[in-house]
Amino acid sequence: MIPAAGGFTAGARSRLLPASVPLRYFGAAVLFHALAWAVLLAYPEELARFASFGGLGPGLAALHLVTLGVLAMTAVGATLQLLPVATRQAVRSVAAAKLVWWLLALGVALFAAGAAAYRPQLLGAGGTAVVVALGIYGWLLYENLRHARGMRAVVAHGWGALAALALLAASGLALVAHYEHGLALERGAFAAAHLVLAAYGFMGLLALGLSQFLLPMFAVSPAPSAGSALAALAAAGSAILVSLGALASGSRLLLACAAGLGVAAAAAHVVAMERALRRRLRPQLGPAFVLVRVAWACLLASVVLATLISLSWAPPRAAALFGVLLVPGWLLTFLLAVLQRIVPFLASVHAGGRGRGAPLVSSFTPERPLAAHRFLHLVALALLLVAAASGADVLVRLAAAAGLAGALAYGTFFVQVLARLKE
Amino acid sequence: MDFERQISRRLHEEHVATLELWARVEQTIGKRDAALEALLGRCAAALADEVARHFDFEEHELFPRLTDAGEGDIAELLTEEHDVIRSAATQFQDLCHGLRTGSLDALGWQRLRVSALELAERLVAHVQKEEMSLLPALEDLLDEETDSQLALAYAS
Repeated sequence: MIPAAGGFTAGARSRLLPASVPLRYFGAAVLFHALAWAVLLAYPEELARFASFGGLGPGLAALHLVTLGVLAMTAVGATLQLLPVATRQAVRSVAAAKLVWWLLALGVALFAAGAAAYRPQLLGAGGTAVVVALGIYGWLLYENLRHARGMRAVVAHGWGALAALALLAASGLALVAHYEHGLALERGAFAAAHLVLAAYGFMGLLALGLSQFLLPMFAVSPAPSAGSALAALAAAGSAILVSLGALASGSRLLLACAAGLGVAAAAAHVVAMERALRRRLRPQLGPAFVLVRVAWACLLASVVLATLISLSWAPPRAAALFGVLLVPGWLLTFLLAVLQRIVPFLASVHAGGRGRGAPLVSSFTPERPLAAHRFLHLVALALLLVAAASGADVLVRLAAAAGLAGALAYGTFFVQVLARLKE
Repeated sequence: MDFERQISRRLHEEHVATLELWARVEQTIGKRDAALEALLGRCAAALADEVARHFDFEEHELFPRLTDAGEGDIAELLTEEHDVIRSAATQFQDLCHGLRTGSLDALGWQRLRVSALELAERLVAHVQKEEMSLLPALEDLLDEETDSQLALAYAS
């Protein structure tokens, strides 16, 4: 069976959110994307400093502008729209979906400002707003998954992501309390657990789960088997749990085992997806898949590097390199690839439905800004990887400049789609 | 997913054939030659015959069953798309007729190319929707006896 765009529309018009709801999430993500690169451009030395020592500062701000402002913002917006249709469920509450956006957007802005300005109170207020937003979102996700019909593998990934989200929020609040109120905790271990839960848990499992039907839909190929998807999920879930145990016990050997399981999970996912894509019915995949494959390469490299780090075999500055592979390399690149296919599709669906059929998706896909973004994003990523490995701040600045230019190109794409939708 | 119902398998086979045919159009539309003109002729014939028959069968035999089963949204959306594709197909077939009779000028050829690419995109999107929504719904909806009757009716 070929997962298809119609999965979202057919049988689903009554399950569509108003266009303004998902698009406000994607618009905020586009804005925070540019802000994240701008912060790194202004403070290039923060990449190495934050990777080595952590703590408040522009590095923390830039990281969370990406993770919360772009990744979580898009993931929440996309799943609020896509999951009710994919799982044949009604949208629980449009008002709640809007409230989550307000809290999340405000929370991210406050959190980033507080981190960049070394003001823990602001950071705390922002973190609290984000946790409340994600709590409401978690409830919406729980209600959807609880009544879900079909899409077994996607639903299983959703449960995994939801569990990770709960632990992620708890560890995030603990870290904020550490900065704001001096709560005593093992900051390094908590920060590492927070990173694992956010990047491989919540965001990672959502990305793996939604890939099961989104990518075959885009490529017009059969979906991977539920068995292969669930096997990859089991390996990923085990990797996350073992890594949490390793961080709690301080066992490097256990951490290496977790990373090894992560390598197996990532490899199983990529192999299953590539096998499915090889059976596609249309020869051309589309340029977004260049970004998808780069993202997969970064995912695999991140877990291999994590294994080397846990075995103390990693090269110098491996922590910064790992962070670049994981966040902008895997998650951001993958998300921007998927978003450039989802936004035109949603716009096409919302522009149709007036008894004259949906307009062509290609009419909502301005190619030039997307091509410019693709080039600039890949240049930024390559420069950032070299910069992280070499510790050269000037390369970080160049990477951030390219990334910012790419983010502006992506913003142009988004604005052009909105303008076309209003015609 | 392997479809268990005969009618789902038959519709799926026709979807694959449609995708293959129109993928060839998308790949070769840039260069006008005898092979492309022959391919466009086959597309026009397929639209008039297989695709029209496929649409009619769905609208008369399958969509009412979907509506009765509470999946009227699917039927409504797919019917709308059928109408849009039929309209685009009529224009494409007229242009192909001009091509066949030698009355198509350069502007007409340009319009034919645009029309072919639009149809390719619409048909691919439509097939995606039916594969994702219609065929799984039929798997749930039809019992063995009804499935056999429908398959026989479609084959005859």
